[in-house]
Amino acid sequence: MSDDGHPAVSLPRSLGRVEHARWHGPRASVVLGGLVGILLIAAAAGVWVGSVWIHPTALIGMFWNAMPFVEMQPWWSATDQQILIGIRLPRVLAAAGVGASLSIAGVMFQGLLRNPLADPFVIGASGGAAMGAAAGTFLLGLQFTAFGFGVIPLLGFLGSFAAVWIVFVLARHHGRARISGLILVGFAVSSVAGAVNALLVMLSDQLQLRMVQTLTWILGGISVNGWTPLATVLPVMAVGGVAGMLLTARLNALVLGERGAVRVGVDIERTKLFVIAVASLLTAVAVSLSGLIAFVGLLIPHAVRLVIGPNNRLLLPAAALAGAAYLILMDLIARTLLAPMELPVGIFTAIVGSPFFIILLRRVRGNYEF
Amino acid sequence: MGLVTIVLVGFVLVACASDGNISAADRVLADSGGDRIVLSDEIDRIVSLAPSGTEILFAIGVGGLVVGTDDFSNYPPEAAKIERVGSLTPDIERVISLAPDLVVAAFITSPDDIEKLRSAGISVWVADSVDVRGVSDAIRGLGAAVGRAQAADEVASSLDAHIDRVVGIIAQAETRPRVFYEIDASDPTKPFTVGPGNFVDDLLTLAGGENVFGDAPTPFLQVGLEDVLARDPDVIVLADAPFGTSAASVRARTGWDVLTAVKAGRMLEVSEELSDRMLRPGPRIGQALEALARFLHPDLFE
Repeated sequence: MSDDGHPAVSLPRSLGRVEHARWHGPRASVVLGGLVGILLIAAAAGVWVGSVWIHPTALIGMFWNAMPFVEMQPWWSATDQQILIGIRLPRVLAAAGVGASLSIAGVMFQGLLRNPLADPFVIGASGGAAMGAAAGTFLLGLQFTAFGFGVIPLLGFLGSFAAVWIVFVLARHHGRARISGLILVGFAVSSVAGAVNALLVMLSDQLQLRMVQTLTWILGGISVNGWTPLATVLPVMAVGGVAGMLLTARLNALVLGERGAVRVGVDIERTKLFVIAVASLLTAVAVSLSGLIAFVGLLIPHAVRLVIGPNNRLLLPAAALAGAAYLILMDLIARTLLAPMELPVGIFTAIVGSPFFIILLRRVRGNYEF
Repeated sequence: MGLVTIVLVGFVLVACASDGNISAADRVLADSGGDRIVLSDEIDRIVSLAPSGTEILFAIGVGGLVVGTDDFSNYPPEAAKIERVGSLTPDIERVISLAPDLVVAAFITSPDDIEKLRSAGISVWVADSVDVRGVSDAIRGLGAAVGRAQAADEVASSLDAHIDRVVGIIAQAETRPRVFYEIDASDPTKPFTVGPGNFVDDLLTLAGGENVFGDAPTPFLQVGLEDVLARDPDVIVLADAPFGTSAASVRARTGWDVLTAVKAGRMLEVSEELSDRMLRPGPRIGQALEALARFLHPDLFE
C-alpha cells in the first residue's frame, strides 16, 4: 500500500482504463436519451403552461411562423404572441441554461474539492454576488442597463466572479492551492461579503423598496428581459459546458486523491485553475440570469450520481440535462402556484427537491460513497 | 351574557388596580389599533413616529407641541425643522430623552418598539387607517387623545366632505379605467404592485379606477410581466417616478409596448408630493384622491 491508502501496484496507467475499471452504471445512450426526452417535455410544459392560457394550435402556429417556412395568417392576438415568444420562451431557455450551468459547476466543484457539501457557491461566489448586487443598487441606480442587463444582475455577475478569484489568489501558497485552504478562505471571504451586504441593506432603509428588489434577487428567481440577455449569456454557457466536458477525465483522476492523480499524469495545479475558471464562470453567468438559486448545484449532481454512478464523463452531461429540466419545472411552479403572484424559485428548488433526494439516498441503503 | 360582562369588568378593574399609578386625571381611550391607551390629562410634548401622524397633529393645531419626528416627516415644512428620532426603526433612547407625554405611532411601527416605549411608562397612540374612509376616524381619535376633539372634528369633517365630493363626481362615470399601479419595476419582467386590502387599492377604487390586480392573494406582491400583459391595463400609475421611472422609460422596456396604456400614453408620473399624499393616511388624502380621480376621469372635472 502507498502512503495515501491506495494500492500502488494496481493503478492503471491511462485514465480511460481507470474509468473502465470503475464503471458499472447504465449505458450512456440510455441515460442521456432519457434525460433529453424529459428535458423536452419539461420545456414544452414550461412554454405552454402559464397564468394565461394559450390554445395549443396557436402555440404550434407561432412556432411554425418562427421557422423559415411559409408564413401563416395569425389567428392569435399580438399579446399572446408577446407572452409566448417574448416572455415565456426566453424564460424557459434561461431556466434551462441556469439549471444546466449550476449543475455542471456543482459536478466540477464536488469533483475538485472532494467535498460532499461543495456547490457552485462554495468558494465565495454567493457572497460576492450578493455584495455586488447591493453595491450596484447604491452606486449606479436601478435605471442603469448594459447588454440588456440591469444593474443588479450585472454587478452580481462581477461580484460572483471576482470573489472566487480573490479566494483562489488568497488560498495559493508558492503556486499551490490546497483544497482545505480554498474551502476555508472561500468561507471567510463569503462571510465578509455577506456581512457587508447586510450592512448595506441596514444603511439603506430610506430605500426599503430597492432592498426588497435586491432581497428577492438574492433569494433567486429566473429573470430574463427578452432575448438580448440570452444572446449574451447562452453562448458563454455553451462554451463553459464544452470546456467542462473536456475536463471530465481530469476530474475522474482526482478520485484517486491529489497524489494519485499526479501519479497517473495529471497536472494538479493546472487542473485546479481550469476547473475553478470554468465552474466560476458558469456560476457567475447563471447568477446574472437568476440571482442565487440554492440547492440545484448541490443536490442535482448528487442525485444524478446516486442513479448513474460517479463517472464524470457521463455525470456531467446527465446532471446538466437533469438540472435544466428541474429548474424549468420549479420555475413553472414558482410563477403559477399563486398566480398572478411571482414567488422566488429558490423556495421550490429546495422544498420539492429535498424529500425526493432523501428518498433516493435511502434507497441505496447507505451505499453512496462520495 | 350578564356573567361574561361582570367577569370582563372585573378583569378591567383588576388590571387597572394592578397598574397602580393611574391618577384621577388620567383618561383611557382606544387608538386606531383598538388598544386602550391611558392618557395624561395635560399633553404638552409629543413625538410623532410617522409622517401621517405629524400631518394630523399640525392640521389640528398642536404642531407646536411636537418635539420629535421621524426622518420622513416633511409636511408642513416647519415639521422638517423638528428634532429627528430615526426612520422606520426609531432611536428609542432619543425618544425617551425627549420626555414626551405622548408618542404617535402608525401600523408600520414595530410592535417591539411600541412595547419598549410603553414599558418605559410612555403612552403610545397608534393613529392610522387601512382604508381611505377610516382616515377621518384616525384624525378624530388622535384629536380626542390630545384634547383637541373639536379642531380634529372640523378637519375630519372637511376631509369627509372632500371625499364625498370626489366620489359624487365619479359616480357619473360610465367606465372604470383598469389601472396598473407600479411600485417598482427595476426588474421590468417582475414588477411590484398592490393587491386587495392595500390602502392604495382602496384609493384607486374610490378614484373611479379598477386595480387590475384586485384579485391578487396579498396586499403587496411581485407579479410576472405575462400577467400584466394578460390584464392589459388602460392606465399605469408610475408610483416609482420619484425614483427615475418615466413614461418614456416604460415605453423603452422590452415587451411593454403591446400594452394599451403604453400605446395610448396613459401613464401618470407620480410626483414626490403626490406620492407623499397618496401613501399617508392623513388630512391630505382627499387631495390625493382628487388628483387620481382627475387623471382617471379628466372629462368629469373641468
